Amino acid sequence: MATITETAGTTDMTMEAPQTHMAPAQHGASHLPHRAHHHPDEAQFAALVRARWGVSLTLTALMLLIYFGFIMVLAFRRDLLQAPVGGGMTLGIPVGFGIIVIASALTGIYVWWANRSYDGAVRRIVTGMQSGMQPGEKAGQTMKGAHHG
Amino acid sequence: MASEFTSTIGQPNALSIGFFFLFVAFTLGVTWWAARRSRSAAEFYAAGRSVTGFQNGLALAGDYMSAASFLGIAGLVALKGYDGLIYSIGFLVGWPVMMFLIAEPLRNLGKYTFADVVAYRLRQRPIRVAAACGSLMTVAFYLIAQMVGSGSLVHLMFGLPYETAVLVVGAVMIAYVLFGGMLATTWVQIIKAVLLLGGASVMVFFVLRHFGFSPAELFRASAARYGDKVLAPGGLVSNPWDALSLGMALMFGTAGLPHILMRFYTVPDAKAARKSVFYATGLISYFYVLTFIIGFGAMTLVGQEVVSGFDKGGNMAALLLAEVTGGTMFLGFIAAVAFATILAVVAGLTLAGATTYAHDLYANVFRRGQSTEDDEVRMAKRATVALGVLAVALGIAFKGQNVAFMVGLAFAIAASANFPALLMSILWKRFSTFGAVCSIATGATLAVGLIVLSPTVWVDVLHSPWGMAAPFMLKNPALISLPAAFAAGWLGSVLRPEPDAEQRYAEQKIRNYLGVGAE
Repeated sequence: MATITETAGTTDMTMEAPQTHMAPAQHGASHLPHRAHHHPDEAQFAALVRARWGVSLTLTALMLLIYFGFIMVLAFRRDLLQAPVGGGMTLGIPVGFGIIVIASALTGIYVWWANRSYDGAVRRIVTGMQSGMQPGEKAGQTMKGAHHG
Repeated sequence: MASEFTSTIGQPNALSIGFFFLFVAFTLGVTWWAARRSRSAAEFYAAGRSVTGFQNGLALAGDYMSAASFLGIAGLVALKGYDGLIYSIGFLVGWPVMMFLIAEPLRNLGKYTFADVVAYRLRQRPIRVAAACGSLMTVAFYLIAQMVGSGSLVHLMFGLPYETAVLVVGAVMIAYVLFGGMLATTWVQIIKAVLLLGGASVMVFFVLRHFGFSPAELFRASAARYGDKVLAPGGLVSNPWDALSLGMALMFGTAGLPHILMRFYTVPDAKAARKSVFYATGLISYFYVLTFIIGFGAMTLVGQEVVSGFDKGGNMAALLLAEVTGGTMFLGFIAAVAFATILAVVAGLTLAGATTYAHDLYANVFRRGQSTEDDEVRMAKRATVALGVLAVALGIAFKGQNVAFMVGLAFAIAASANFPALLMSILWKRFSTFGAVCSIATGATLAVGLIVLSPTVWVDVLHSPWGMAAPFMLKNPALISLPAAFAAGWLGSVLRPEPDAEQRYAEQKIRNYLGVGAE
């Protein structure tokens, strides 16, 4: 029961706009659940989504904290950034450049994490979905685009 | 040394006009090449999804690094010192946020516009109309600001009449988009990004040569001439609420700019989309570091008096510096690059506007999804011409007007009307059509309404009608309009829930996170 399939419907997804294959005509046509799908493993999928938002919300929070922290220092304790640090520079300059570097580095961390961990997890889940399919289905076609997460 | 310096800026410069024609001729050649590959809708709107992550990173950077940010920020640094850096940082920090929250879901769920994502499981027509309004408003304000800026800049740089400059920009930009679609636009962005980054790098090399290749030496020389204050934050951020509001507009607005979001559909998959933001962020960071050094270079080697003598806002700082450090030839090159920069940015905006009209409004609203691809592309081309002509007309109509607020407004609308609806449609199962429309309408109305009542427009543009002080005290409305858009989206969804859409969320999640069925 877990592997109810609807080959035609899923194949269409690769070539048509979402609205066309979501036409109400599709459900009600049978007793199949709405938008029957090759279901991903529930636990694995939930873990994937949790990990994805865990990482990206943490990084987002970090970026917000750093930027708005900087703004608040500018607004309330500007003198901190006016403090001289050797070489004729003020603290503000390394801090400003530091934020620019950190912003780039955070995107690097995300890409590194996603390439190393997320993509592999997606591949495992998608493979699991394919192996749950009935023989004779056009796996290559229905899974088009899946291999790259 | 600087006071005896006389510049050739403002006189027709044969070299820069030559460089500019070379750029236009070459990019029109690219357009001709692209024309044969821009027939289907996926080709016209999304370059056939054939752009690599690195190419798209360059193109995103090209779309974002406008002449206003190159010349404007260099000028701000030249006149105000450190405060210019604060400005740059604000424009940069939206990029990581866009990557973490939006980039991959957008690529996996949509087709050509961000409205595809919002409308994925909601009712097409109301969503498309609302999202198109948000998109078109963002594009329109951004475009007007760019056109007016380009007219004045070209006038300052070449001595060309304002109207001629606007017309040239309009005509070339229409040619790119109309014939070459997204593929030509992408390559124009890439070429421009390479020229701009290359030209700015050479300029920084020339500047640092004067200071033994030590930026610290440059900063010391600037401080010796204009006082330590240029190396530390000054008065740019004095009111914390103002700073917070502008910060929110910049941070979340980047993730709501239609011409930027549209670029994610040009790459083959979500992995490439993610990679392209990484490259774009790195390139834009590098660019802002360059402009900071160029600004200090202009302050020290050209002199603040000379810079502000040419243009009160300091917009000519980078060009003056180019002339001082590299002579007329280098000035010609940098001026041509600045002109090319304007062209590329307006081309990206026009394509985004035309796509919104043809894909969201024409195909999905007027024709209720029944049009053919050919119809859609034909409409997109017509819309390109119409939008280009409108941009020229508005550019001329707004001549001499204070349009500086329009970029801030475009970001505020993008952050309030586009971003909340997009994020909620990705993350919140119970988000409904009514909620989305409420969110977009609230965000757009508040962003526009409040900015009219704010000191930015009320005082600086309208000169305080009836002698009244500005009724809304923040210069940028995002602090109010963005949370209000989220609240409206929540309230609307709770009041008019949509069980159908909730059911489809499971399927949306599969496509979103696994890329199964993505375009």
